[in-house]
Amino acid sequence: MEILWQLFIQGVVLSMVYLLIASGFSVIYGTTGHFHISHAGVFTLAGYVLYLLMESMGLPIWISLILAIVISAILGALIYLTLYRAVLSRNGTHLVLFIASLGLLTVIDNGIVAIFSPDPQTFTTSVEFNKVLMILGAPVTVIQLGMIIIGIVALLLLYVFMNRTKAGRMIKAASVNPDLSQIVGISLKKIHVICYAIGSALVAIPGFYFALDTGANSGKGVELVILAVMAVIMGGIRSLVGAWIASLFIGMFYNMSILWIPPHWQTSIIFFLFLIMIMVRPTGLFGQRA
Amino acid sequence: MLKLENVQVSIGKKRILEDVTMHVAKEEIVAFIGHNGAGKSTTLGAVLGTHRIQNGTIELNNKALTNLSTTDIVREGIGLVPQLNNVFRNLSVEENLELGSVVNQGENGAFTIEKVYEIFPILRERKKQLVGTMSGGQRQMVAIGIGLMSNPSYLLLDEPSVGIQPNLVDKVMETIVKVNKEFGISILIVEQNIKKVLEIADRVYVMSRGSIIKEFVPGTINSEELWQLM
Ligand SMILES: Nc1ncnc2c1ncn2[C@@H]1O[C@H](COP(=O)(O)OP(=O)(O)OP(=O)(O)O)[C@@H](O)[C@H]1O
Ligand SMILES: [Mg+2]
Repeated sequence: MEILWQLFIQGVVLSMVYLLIASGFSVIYGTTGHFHISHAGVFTLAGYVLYLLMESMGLPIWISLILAIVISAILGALIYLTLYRAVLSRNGTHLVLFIASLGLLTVIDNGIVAIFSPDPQTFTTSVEFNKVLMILGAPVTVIQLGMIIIGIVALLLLYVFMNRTKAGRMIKAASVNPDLSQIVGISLKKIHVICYAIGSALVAIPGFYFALDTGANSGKGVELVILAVMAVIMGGIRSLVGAWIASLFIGMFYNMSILWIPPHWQTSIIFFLFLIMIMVRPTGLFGQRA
Repeated sequence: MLKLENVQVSIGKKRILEDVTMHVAKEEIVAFIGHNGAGKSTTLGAVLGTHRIQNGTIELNNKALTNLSTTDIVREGIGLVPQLNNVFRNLSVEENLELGSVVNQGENGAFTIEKVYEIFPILRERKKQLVGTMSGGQRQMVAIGIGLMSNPSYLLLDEPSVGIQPNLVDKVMETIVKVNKEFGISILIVEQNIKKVLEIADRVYVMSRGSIIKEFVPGTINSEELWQLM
Protein backbone atom coordinates (compact mmCIF):
# COMPACT_ATOMS: atom_id res chain seq x y z
CA MET A 1 0.00 0.00 0.00
CA GLU A 2 2.80 2.36 0.93
CA ILE A 3 4.63 1.74 -2.31
CA LEU A 4 1.42 2.46 -4.21
CA TRP A 5 1.09 5.78 -2.44
CA GLN A 6 4.70 6.66 -3.21
CA LEU A 7 4.24 5.83 -6.86
CA PHE A 8 1.10 7.93 -6.86
CA ILE A 9 2.98 10.96 -5.54
CA GLN A 10 5.77 10.44 -8.08
CA GLY A 11 3.07 10.15 -10.72
CA VAL A 12 1.67 13.52 -9.70
CA VAL A 13 5.11 15.06 -10.19
CA LEU A 14 5.61 13.49 -13.60
CA SER A 15 2.09 14.49 -14.63
CA MET A 16 2.91 18.07 -13.78
CA VAL A 17 5.96 17.84 -16.05
CA TYR A 18 3.79 16.67 -18.97
CA LEU A 19 1.08 19.13 -18.08
CA LEU A 20 3.39 22.12 -18.35
CA ILE A 21 5.12 20.93 -21.52
CA ALA A 22 1.76 20.10 -23.10
CA SER A 23 0.14 23.39 -22.09
CA GLY A 24 3.06 25.31 -23.52
CA PHE A 25 2.96 23.35 -26.76
CA SER A 26 -0.82 23.69 -26.95
CA VAL A 27 -0.77 27.47 -26.51
CA ILE A 28 1.70 27.73 -29.40
CA TYR A 29 0.29 25.07 -31.71
CA GLY A 30 -3.36 25.94 -31.10
CA THR A 31 -2.83 29.50 -32.23
CA THR A 32 -0.06 29.36 -34.81
CA GLY A 33 -0.47 25.84 -36.16
CA HIS A 34 3.33 25.52 -36.03
CA PHE A 35 4.66 22.13 -35.01
CA HIS A 36 7.28 23.68 -32.75
CA ILE A 37 9.44 20.65 -31.97
CA SER A 38 12.17 23.05 -30.79
CA HIS A 39 9.94 23.37 -27.74
CA ALA A 40 12.26 20.56 -26.58
CA GLY A 41 15.25 22.82 -27.25
CA VAL A 42 13.77 25.58 -25.10
CA PHE A 43 13.20 22.97 -22.37
CA THR A 44 16.92 22.12 -22.49
CA LEU A 45 18.12 25.71 -22.78
CA ALA A 46 16.05 26.70 -19.74
CA GLY A 47 18.02 24.25 -17.57
CA TYR A 48 21.35 25.61 -18.80
CA VAL A 49 20.27 29.23 -18.40
CA LEU A 50 19.38 28.44 -14.78
CA TYR A 51 22.75 26.73 -14.37
CA LEU A 52 24.62 29.77 -15.69
CA LEU A 53 22.67 32.17 -13.50
CA MET A 54 23.02 30.15 -10.30
CA GLU A 55 26.39 28.49 -10.68
CA SER A 56 28.42 30.80 -12.91
CA MET A 57 26.95 34.09 -11.70
CA GLY A 58 26.10 32.94 -8.21
CA LEU A 59 22.63 34.51 -8.13
CA PRO A 60 20.15 33.32 -5.51
CA ILE A 61 17.67 30.70 -6.64
CA TRP A 62 14.53 32.86 -6.67
CA ILE A 63 16.09 35.58 -8.75
CA SER A 64 17.63 32.96 -11.03
CA LEU A 65 14.28 31.22 -11.54
CA ILE A 66 12.47 34.43 -12.42
CA LEU A 67 15.26 35.61 -14.73
CA ALA A 68 15.50 32.20 -16.37
CA ILE A 69 11.75 32.13 -17.05
CA VAL A 70 11.92 35.55 -18.67
CA ILE A 71 14.98 34.59 -20.73
CA SER A 72 13.30 31.34 -21.86
CA ALA A 73 10.21 33.29 -22.93
CA ILE A 74 12.39 35.67 -24.93
CA LEU A 75 14.30 32.76 -26.52
CA GLY A 76 11.01 31.18 -27.63
CA ALA A 77 9.78 34.46 -29.08
CA LEU A 78 13.10 34.94 -30.87
CA ILE A 79 12.90 31.51 -32.49
CA TYR A 80 9.58 32.60 -33.97
CA LEU A 81 10.69 36.09 -34.95
CA THR A 82 13.91 34.98 -36.64
CA LEU A 83 13.81 31.42 -37.95
CA TYR A 84 10.08 30.76 -38.36
CA ARG A 85 9.18 34.14 -39.79
CA ALA A 86 12.03 33.85 -42.24
CA VAL A 87 10.61 30.52 -43.41
CA LEU A 88 7.03 31.78 -43.54
CA SER A 89 7.83 35.05 -45.26
CA ARG A 90 9.35 33.06 -48.13
CA ASN A 91 6.11 31.10 -48.41
CA GLY A 92 7.52 28.10 -46.58
CA THR A 93 4.82 25.60 -45.68
CA HIS A 94 4.23 24.30 -42.18
CA LEU A 95 6.11 21.16 -43.14
CA VAL A 96 9.18 23.22 -44.02
CA LEU A 97 8.77 25.05 -40.73
CA PHE A 98 8.69 21.74 -38.88
CA ILE A 99 11.90 20.61 -40.59
CA ALA A 100 13.53 23.94 -39.72
CA SER A 101 12.41 23.48 -36.12
CA LEU A 102 13.84 19.97 -36.04
CA GLY A 103 17.11 21.33 -37.44
CA LEU A 104 17.22 24.02 -34.79
CA LEU A 105 16.63 21.42 -32.07
CA THR A 106 19.62 19.44 -33.32
CA VAL A 107 21.75 22.59 -33.36
CA ILE A 108 20.71 23.43 -29.79
CA ASP A 109 21.31 19.93 -28.42
CA ASN A 110 24.66 19.52 -30.15
CA GLY A 111 25.75 23.08 -29.50
CA ILE A 112 25.24 22.54 -25.80
CA VAL A 113 27.27 19.34 -25.84
CA ALA A 114 30.06 21.19 -27.68
CA ILE A 115 30.08 23.98 -25.11
CA PHE A 116 29.38 22.13 -21.86
CA SER A 117 30.47 18.54 -22.68
CA PRO A 118 27.97 15.67 -22.80
CA ASP A 119 28.02 15.31 -19.01
CA PRO A 120 25.16 16.71 -16.95
CA GLN A 121 26.00 20.00 -15.25
CA THR A 122 25.04 19.38 -11.66
CA PHE A 123 24.19 22.18 -9.28
CA THR A 124 26.37 22.54 -6.20
CA THR A 125 23.23 23.45 -4.30
CA SER A 126 21.46 20.30 -5.37
CA VAL A 127 22.07 18.44 -2.09
CA GLU A 128 19.94 20.93 -0.26
CA PHE A 129 17.21 20.76 -2.88
CA ASN A 130 17.19 17.00 -2.86
CA LYS A 131 16.36 16.94 0.82
CA VAL A 132 13.49 14.54 1.36
CA LEU A 133 10.33 15.66 3.11
CA MET A 134 7.63 13.28 4.22
CA ILE A 135 4.27 14.39 2.92
CA LEU A 136 1.29 12.29 3.95
CA GLY A 137 3.65 9.41 4.42
CA ALA A 138 5.34 9.66 1.04
CA PRO A 139 8.89 10.88 0.49
CA VAL A 140 9.00 14.01 -1.69
CA THR A 141 12.08 16.06 -2.44
CA VAL A 142 12.10 19.82 -2.06
CA ILE A 143 12.52 20.19 -5.83
CA GLN A 144 9.53 17.95 -6.53
CA LEU A 145 7.38 19.90 -4.12
CA GLY A 146 8.57 23.20 -5.61
CA MET A 147 7.83 21.88 -9.09
CA ILE A 148 4.26 20.97 -8.16
CA ILE A 149 3.54 24.26 -6.42
CA ILE A 150 5.09 26.45 -9.12
CA GLY A 151 3.39 24.31 -11.76
CA ILE A 152 -0.04 24.74 -10.21
CA VAL A 153 0.47 28.49 -9.88
CA ALA A 154 1.63 28.72 -13.51
CA LEU A 155 -1.37 26.74 -14.79
CA LEU A 156 -3.80 28.82 -12.74
CA LEU A 157 -2.22 31.99 -14.11
CA LEU A 158 -2.50 30.58 -17.63
CA TYR A 159 -6.16 29.74 -17.11
CA VAL A 160 -6.99 33.17 -15.73
CA PHE A 161 -4.99 34.89 -18.46
CA MET A 162 -6.77 32.96 -21.21
CA ASN A 163 -10.27 33.37 -19.85
CA ARG A 164 -10.31 36.63 -17.98
CA THR A 165 -8.10 39.03 -19.89
CA LYS A 166 -8.52 40.79 -23.17
CA ALA A 167 -5.20 39.46 -24.48
CA GLY A 168 -6.35 35.92 -23.64
CA ARG A 169 -9.56 36.45 -25.57
CA MET A 170 -7.58 37.77 -28.51
CA ILE A 171 -5.49 34.58 -28.45
CA LYS A 172 -8.61 32.41 -28.35
CA ALA A 173 -10.09 34.45 -31.17
CA ALA A 174 -6.94 34.15 -33.28
CA SER A 175 -6.78 30.40 -32.72
CA VAL A 176 -10.29 29.78 -34.02
CA ASN A 177 -10.56 32.48 -36.69
CA PRO A 178 -7.27 34.09 -37.68
CA ASP A 179 -8.75 35.79 -40.76
CA LEU A 180 -11.45 37.61 -38.82
CA SER A 181 -8.93 38.47 -36.10
CA GLN A 182 -6.91 40.30 -38.70
CA ILE A 183 -9.98 41.99 -40.10
CA VAL A 184 -10.91 43.44 -36.70
CA GLY A 185 -7.35 44.74 -36.53
CA ILE A 186 -5.64 42.22 -34.27
CA SER A 187 -1.99 41.82 -35.27
CA LEU A 188 -1.43 38.09 -35.69
CA LYS A 189 2.30 38.60 -35.44
CA LYS A 190 1.94 40.11 -31.96
CA ILE A 191 -0.41 37.33 -30.89
CA HIS A 192 2.04 34.71 -32.12
CA VAL A 193 4.94 36.36 -30.30
CA ILE A 194 2.91 36.35 -27.08
CA CYS A 195 2.01 32.67 -27.55
CA TYR A 196 5.64 31.66 -28.13
CA ALA A 197 6.69 33.61 -25.05
CA ILE A 198 4.00 32.07 -22.84
CA GLY A 199 4.55 28.55 -24.19
CA SER A 200 8.31 28.84 -23.67
CA ALA A 201 7.89 30.16 -20.12
CA LEU A 202 5.71 27.14 -19.36
CA VAL A 203 8.15 24.57 -20.76
CA ALA A 204 11.00 26.23 -18.85
CA ILE A 205 9.55 25.14 -15.50
CA PRO A 206 9.97 21.37 -16.02
CA GLY A 207 13.31 22.25 -17.64
CA PHE A 208 14.42 23.76 -14.32
CA TYR A 209 13.07 20.77 -12.44
CA PHE A 210 15.08 18.25 -14.44
CA ALA A 211 18.20 20.41 -14.26
CA LEU A 212 18.00 20.86 -10.49
CA ASP A 213 17.11 17.22 -9.96
CA THR A 214 19.70 15.43 -12.09
CA GLY A 215 21.79 18.24 -13.59
CA ALA A 216 21.32 20.31 -16.73
CA ASN A 217 21.61 17.94 -19.66
CA SER A 218 21.13 18.04 -23.39
CA GLY A 219 18.88 15.79 -25.47
CA LYS A 220 16.33 15.01 -22.75
CA GLY A 221 13.55 17.16 -24.11
CA VAL A 222 12.44 15.33 -27.24
CA GLU A 223 10.86 12.28 -25.65
CA LEU A 224 9.09 14.41 -23.07
CA VAL A 225 7.80 16.79 -25.73
CA ILE A 226 6.59 13.95 -27.94
CA LEU A 227 4.66 12.42 -25.03
CA ALA A 228 3.30 15.87 -24.20
CA VAL A 229 2.25 16.39 -27.82
CA MET A 230 0.48 13.06 -27.61
CA ALA A 231 -1.35 14.38 -24.57
CA VAL A 232 -2.33 17.48 -26.52
CA ILE A 233 -3.73 15.37 -29.35
CA MET A 234 -5.43 12.94 -26.97
CA GLY A 235 -7.03 15.80 -25.12
CA GLY A 236 -8.13 17.51 -28.29
CA ILE A 237 -6.09 20.25 -29.91
CA ARG A 238 -7.09 23.67 -28.55
CA SER A 239 -8.63 22.13 -25.45
CA LEU A 240 -6.36 23.07 -22.54
CA VAL A 241 -8.45 21.08 -20.10
CA GLY A 242 -8.31 18.05 -22.39
CA ALA A 243 -4.52 18.29 -22.60
CA TRP A 244 -4.36 18.52 -18.82
CA ILE A 245 -6.44 15.40 -18.27
CA ALA A 246 -4.43 13.42 -20.83
CA SER A 247 -1.14 14.61 -19.26
CA LEU A 248 -2.33 13.44 -15.88
CA PHE A 249 -3.20 10.09 -17.36
CA ILE A 250 0.19 9.65 -19.05
CA GLY A 251 2.14 10.75 -15.98
CA MET A 252 0.14 8.48 -13.71
CA PHE A 253 0.30 5.56 -16.09
CA TYR A 254 4.09 5.79 -16.26
CA ASN A 255 4.48 5.65 -12.54
CA MET A 256 1.69 3.42 -11.36
CA SER A 257 2.17 0.80 -14.06
CA ILE A 258 5.71 0.13 -12.84
CA LEU A 259 4.12 -2.32 -10.44
CA TRP A 260 2.62 -4.48 -13.14
CA ILE A 261 4.32 -3.72 -16.42
CA PRO A 262 8.03 -4.13 -17.16
CA PRO A 263 9.59 -0.67 -17.75
CA HIS A 264 10.65 -1.41 -21.32
CA TRP A 265 7.03 -2.09 -22.22
CA GLN A 266 5.61 1.11 -20.82
CA THR A 267 6.32 3.46 -23.72
CA SER A 268 5.09 0.92 -26.27
CA ILE A 269 1.86 0.42 -24.35
CA ILE A 270 1.25 4.16 -23.99
CA PHE A 271 1.74 4.64 -27.73
CA PHE A 272 -0.44 1.63 -28.47
CA LEU A 273 -3.26 3.08 -26.36
CA PHE A 274 -2.71 6.40 -28.12
CA LEU A 275 -3.03 4.80 -31.55
CA ILE A 276 -6.26 3.04 -30.60
CA MET A 277 -7.70 6.25 -29.20
CA ILE A 278 -6.72 8.23 -32.27
CA MET A 279 -8.39 5.63 -34.52
CA VAL A 280 -11.61 5.79 -32.54
CA ARG A 281 -11.67 9.52 -31.92
CA PRO A 282 -9.23 11.42 -34.14
CA THR A 283 -10.28 14.79 -32.77
CA GLY A 284 -9.27 13.82 -29.26
CA LEU A 285 -11.30 13.36 -26.11
CA PHE A 286 -12.43 16.96 -25.86
CA GLY A 287 -11.88 18.13 -29.42
CA GLN A 288 -14.78 19.32 -31.50
CA ARG A 289 -15.70 16.94 -34.25
CA ALA A 290 -15.17 18.49 -37.64
CA MET B 1 -13.93 59.37 -49.82
CA LEU B 2 -12.80 55.80 -50.34
CA LYS B 3 -11.31 55.44 -53.79
CA LEU B 4 -10.02 52.45 -55.74
CA GLU B 5 -8.20 53.13 -58.97
CA ASN B 6 -7.16 50.51 -61.53
CA VAL B 7 -6.84 47.89 -58.82
CA GLN B 8 -5.44 44.58 -59.97
CA VAL B 9 -5.23 41.47 -57.78
CA SER B 10 -3.90 38.00 -58.51
CA ILE B 11 -4.15 34.99 -56.26
CA GLY B 12 -1.35 32.63 -57.09
CA LYS B 13 -0.97 32.83 -60.83
CA LYS B 14 -4.64 33.58 -61.43
CA ARG B 15 -5.70 37.16 -62.12
CA ILE B 16 -8.86 37.76 -60.06
CA LEU B 17 -9.34 41.53 -60.34
CA GLU B 18 -8.50 42.96 -63.75
CA ASP B 19 -8.95 46.68 -63.37
CA VAL B 20 -11.27 47.93 -60.66
CA THR B 21 -12.05 51.62 -60.34
CA MET B 22 -14.78 52.67 -57.94
CA HIS B 23 -15.42 54.99 -55.04
CA VAL B 24 -17.66 55.53 -52.05
CA ALA B 25 -18.31 59.14 -51.09
CA LYS B 26 -18.82 60.28 -47.53
CA GLU B 27 -22.17 59.17 -46.09
CA GLU B 28 -23.13 57.37 -49.25
CA ILE B 29 -24.67 53.89 -49.51
CA VAL B 30 -23.16 52.07 -52.47
CA ALA B 31 -24.36 48.66 -53.63
CA PHE B 32 -21.91 46.26 -55.22
CA ILE B 33 -23.44 43.44 -57.24
CA GLY B 34 -22.37 40.82 -59.74
CA HIS B 35 -22.54 37.11 -60.40
CA ASN B 36 -20.89 34.48 -58.21
CA GLY B 37 -17.13 34.51 -58.53
CA ALA B 38 -17.05 37.97 -60.12
CA GLY B 39 -14.52 39.20 -57.56
CA LYS B 40 -16.63 41.24 -55.13
CA SER B 41 -15.27 39.66 -51.95
CA THR B 42 -11.76 39.88 -53.34
CA THR B 43 -12.26 43.61 -53.90
CA LEU B 44 -13.29 44.11 -50.27
CA GLY B 45 -10.30 42.03 -49.17
CA ALA B 46 -8.02 44.26 -51.22
CA VAL B 47 -9.36 47.35 -49.42
CA LEU B 48 -8.70 45.76 -46.02
CA GLY B 49 -5.20 44.73 -47.07
CA THR B 50 -5.87 41.01 -46.71
CA HIS B 51 -5.29 40.60 -50.45
CA ARG B 52 -2.14 42.16 -51.87
CA ILE B 53 -2.72 44.32 -54.92
CA GLN B 54 -0.38 44.07 -57.90
CA ASN B 55 -1.35 47.34 -59.49
CA GLY B 56 -3.41 50.43 -58.84
CA THR B 57 -4.12 52.45 -55.73
CA ILE B 58 -6.58 52.47 -52.86
CA GLU B 59 -7.02 55.74 -51.00
CA LEU B 60 -9.05 56.94 -48.06
CA ASN B 61 -9.46 60.73 -47.97
CA ASN B 62 -6.47 61.05 -50.29
CA LYS B 63 -4.27 58.92 -48.07
CA ALA B 64 -2.92 55.74 -49.64
CA LEU B 65 -3.96 52.55 -47.88
CA THR B 66 -2.09 50.37 -50.30
CA ASN B 67 0.97 49.65 -48.19
CA LEU B 68 -0.61 49.75 -44.75
CA SER B 69 -1.12 46.68 -42.58
CA THR B 70 -4.70 45.56 -41.98
CA THR B 71 -4.47 46.80 -38.40
CA ASP B 72 -3.55 50.27 -39.66
CA ILE B 73 -6.29 50.22 -42.28
CA VAL B 74 -8.85 49.42 -39.56
CA ARG B 75 -7.34 52.22 -37.50
CA GLU B 76 -7.87 54.58 -40.43
CA GLY B 77 -11.59 53.84 -40.14
CA ILE B 78 -12.48 50.98 -42.44
CA GLY B 79 -14.50 48.04 -41.18
CA LEU B 80 -15.45 44.81 -42.94
CA VAL B 81 -18.15 42.27 -42.22
CA PRO B 82 -16.91 39.30 -44.23
CA GLN B 83 -19.12 36.91 -46.16
CA LEU B 84 -17.91 33.72 -44.46
CA ASN B 85 -16.48 32.85 -41.06
CA ASN B 86 -17.49 36.23 -39.74
CA VAL B 87 -17.79 35.42 -36.02
CA PHE B 88 -15.63 33.88 -33.29
CA ARG B 89 -17.53 30.68 -32.56
CA ASN B 90 -15.66 29.82 -29.35
CA LEU B 91 -16.51 33.12 -27.64
CA SER B 92 -19.69 34.62 -26.25
CA VAL B 93 -21.77 37.28 -27.98
CA GLU B 94 -20.40 39.94 -25.68
CA GLU B 95 -16.79 38.84 -26.15
CA ASN B 96 -17.28 38.84 -29.92
CA LEU B 97 -18.55 42.41 -29.83
CA GLU B 98 -15.72 43.52 -27.55
CA LEU B 99 -13.19 42.13 -30.02
CA GLY B 100 -14.73 44.35 -32.67
CA SER B 101 -13.33 47.36 -30.86
CA VAL B 102 -9.76 46.24 -30.17
CA VAL B 103 -8.42 48.90 -32.48
CA ASN B 104 -10.87 51.80 -32.29
CA GLN B 105 -12.31 52.00 -28.81
CA GLY B 106 -15.57 53.89 -28.50
CA GLU B 107 -15.00 57.58 -28.11
CA ASN B 108 -17.77 60.13 -27.82
CA GLY B 109 -20.70 59.35 -30.05
CA ALA B 110 -19.10 56.11 -31.09
CA PHE B 111 -20.58 52.64 -31.21
CA THR B 112 -20.84 50.76 -27.96
CA ILE B 113 -22.11 47.31 -27.08
CA GLU B 114 -25.25 49.01 -25.73
CA LYS B 115 -25.98 50.54 -29.12
CA VAL B 116 -25.55 47.20 -30.84
CA TYR B 117 -27.99 45.68 -28.34
CA GLU B 118 -30.48 48.45 -29.12
CA ILE B 119 -30.33 47.50 -32.79
CA PHE B 120 -30.44 43.75 -32.16
CA PRO B 121 -32.23 43.22 -28.81
CA ILE B 122 -31.99 39.44 -29.15
CA LEU B 123 -28.22 39.74 -28.72
CA ARG B 124 -28.67 41.36 -25.31
CA GLU B 125 -30.77 38.42 -24.16
CA ARG B 126 -28.08 36.03 -25.34
CA LYS B 127 -24.98 37.98 -24.49
CA LYS B 128 -23.40 35.09 -22.55
CA GLN B 129 -24.18 32.46 -25.20
CA LEU B 130 -21.36 30.95 -27.27
CA VAL B 131 -21.79 32.27 -30.79
CA GLY B 132 -21.01 28.83 -32.24
CA THR B 133 -24.28 27.58 -30.75
CA MET B 134 -26.46 30.30 -32.30
CA SER B 135 -28.56 30.14 -35.44
CA GLY B 136 -27.20 31.41 -38.76
CA GLY B 137 -29.33 34.56 -38.64
CA GLN B 138 -28.31 35.38 -35.09
CA ARG B 139 -24.67 34.83 -35.99
CA GLN B 140 -25.10 37.26 -38.86
CA MET B 141 -26.34 39.90 -36.40
CA VAL B 142 -23.26 39.30 -34.26
CA ALA B 143 -21.11 39.68 -37.37
CA ILE B 144 -22.67 43.04 -38.23
CA GLY B 145 -22.29 44.05 -34.59
CA ILE B 146 -18.56 43.26 -34.69
CA GLY B 147 -18.23 45.43 -37.80
CA LEU B 148 -20.02 48.34 -36.14
CA MET B 149 -17.95 48.00 -32.97
CA SER B 150 -14.81 48.88 -34.91
CA ASN B 151 -16.32 52.35 -35.27
CA PRO B 152 -15.58 52.64 -38.95
CA SER B 153 -16.26 55.69 -41.02
CA TYR B 154 -16.57 53.30 -43.99
CA LEU B 155 -18.26 49.95 -43.40
CA LEU B 156 -17.96 47.23 -46.03
CA LEU B 157 -20.62 44.52 -45.80
CA ASP B 158 -20.28 41.26 -47.73
CA GLU B 159 -23.76 39.75 -48.22
CA PRO B 160 -25.07 40.62 -44.77
CA SER B 161 -28.55 39.20 -45.39
CA VAL B 162 -27.45 35.70 -46.36
CA GLY B 163 -29.12 33.08 -44.19
CA ILE B 164 -31.47 35.54 -42.58
CA GLN B 165 -35.22 34.90 -42.66
CA PRO B 166 -37.08 37.15 -45.16
CA ASN B 167 -38.78 39.43 -42.64
CA LEU B 168 -35.43 40.03 -40.93
CA VAL B 169 -33.77 40.94 -44.22
CA ASP B 170 -35.81 44.14 -44.15
CA LYS B 171 -34.62 44.67 -40.62
CA VAL B 172 -30.99 44.30 -41.68
CA MET B 173 -31.50 46.77 -44.53
CA GLU B 174 -33.20 49.20 -42.15
CA THR B 175 -30.28 48.84 -39.78
CA ILE B 176 -27.85 49.70 -42.52
CA VAL B 177 -29.82 52.81 -43.45
CA LYS B 178 -30.05 53.77 -39.80
CA VAL B 179 -26.34 53.34 -39.24
CA ASN B 180 -25.73 55.41 -42.33
CA LYS B 181 -28.14 58.23 -41.49
CA GLU B 182 -27.69 58.44 -37.72
CA PHE B 183 -24.00 57.76 -37.42
CA GLY B 184 -22.85 59.03 -40.79
CA ILE B 185 -21.13 55.75 -41.62
CA SER B 186 -20.54 55.33 -45.36
CA ILE B 187 -21.57 51.93 -46.68
CA LEU B 188 -20.35 49.62 -49.41
CA ILE B 189 -22.65 46.62 -49.51
CA VAL B 190 -22.35 43.44 -51.57
CA GLU B 191 -25.77 41.82 -51.96
CA GLN B 192 -27.43 39.00 -53.87
CA ASN B 193 -30.85 40.34 -52.94
CA ILE B 194 -30.77 42.98 -55.66
CA LYS B 195 -34.32 44.19 -55.27
CA LYS B 196 -33.80 44.95 -51.58
CA VAL B 197 -30.43 46.55 -51.93
CA LEU B 198 -31.55 48.82 -54.76
CA GLU B 199 -34.16 50.22 -52.38
CA ILE B 200 -31.51 51.57 -50.05
CA ALA B 201 -28.56 52.32 -52.33
CA ASP B 202 -27.57 55.75 -53.62
CA ARG B 203 -25.43 54.22 -56.35
CA VAL B 204 -24.69 50.76 -57.74
CA TYR B 205 -21.63 49.10 -59.25
CA VAL B 206 -21.92 45.91 -61.27
CA MET B 207 -18.89 43.65 -61.46
CA SER B 208 -18.22 40.87 -63.93
CA ARG B 209 -15.08 38.77 -64.28
CA GLY B 210 -12.94 41.04 -62.17
CA SER B 211 -13.94 44.34 -63.75
CA ILE B 212 -16.59 46.96 -63.10
CA ILE B 213 -18.90 46.81 -66.11
CA LYS B 214 -21.56 49.32 -65.07
CA GLU B 215 -22.26 52.10 -62.62
CA PHE B 216 -25.78 53.47 -62.18
CA VAL B 217 -28.25 55.18 -59.88
CA PRO B 218 -31.22 53.02 -58.85
CA GLY B 219 -34.35 53.85 -60.84
CA THR B 220 -32.41 55.02 -63.87
CA ILE B 221 -32.27 51.65 -65.58
CA ASN B 222 -35.07 49.16 -66.05
CA SER B 223 -35.00 45.62 -64.77
CA GLU B 224 -34.54 44.12 -68.22
CA GLU B 225 -31.31 46.06 -68.70
CA LEU B 226 -30.20 45.04 -65.25
CA TRP B 227 -30.76 41.33 -65.85
CA GLN B 228 -28.71 41.54 -69.00
CA LEU B 229 -25.78 42.83 -66.96
CA MET B 230 -25.94 40.06 -64.40
N1 LIG C 1 -7.94 31.93 -52.13
C1 LIG C 1 -8.25 31.81 -53.41
N2 LIG C 1 -7.50 31.06 -54.23
C2 LIG C 1 -7.79 30.93 -55.54
N3 LIG C 1 -8.83 31.52 -56.13
C3 LIG C 1 -9.62 32.28 -55.36
C4 LIG C 1 -9.39 32.47 -53.97
N4 LIG C 1 -10.34 33.29 -53.49
C5 LIG C 1 -11.13 33.57 -54.51
N5 LIG C 1 -10.71 32.98 -55.65
C6 LIG C 1 -11.33 33.07 -56.98
O1 LIG C 1 -11.52 34.43 -57.24
C7 LIG C 1 -12.71 34.65 -57.95
C8 LIG C 1 -13.50 35.73 -57.26
O2 LIG C 1 -13.90 35.30 -55.99
P1 LIG C 1 -14.74 36.23 -55.01
O3 LIG C 1 -14.94 35.47 -53.76
O4 LIG C 1 -14.09 37.54 -54.92
O5 LIG C 1 -16.11 36.36 -55.80
P2 LIG C 1 -17.48 37.01 -55.34
O6 LIG C 1 -17.85 37.98 -56.37
O7 LIG C 1 -17.39 37.48 -53.96
O8 LIG C 1 -18.45 35.74 -55.45
P3 LIG C 1 -19.71 35.31 -54.54
O9 LIG C 1 -20.87 36.10 -55.02
O10 LIG C 1 -19.87 33.87 -54.86
O11 LIG C 1 -19.36 35.57 -53.12
C9 LIG C 1 -13.41 33.30 -58.02
O12 LIG C 1 -13.21 32.78 -59.29
C10 LIG C 1 -12.70 32.46 -57.01
O13 LIG C 1 -12.65 31.13 -57.43
MG1 LIG D 1 -18.23 36.90 -52.23
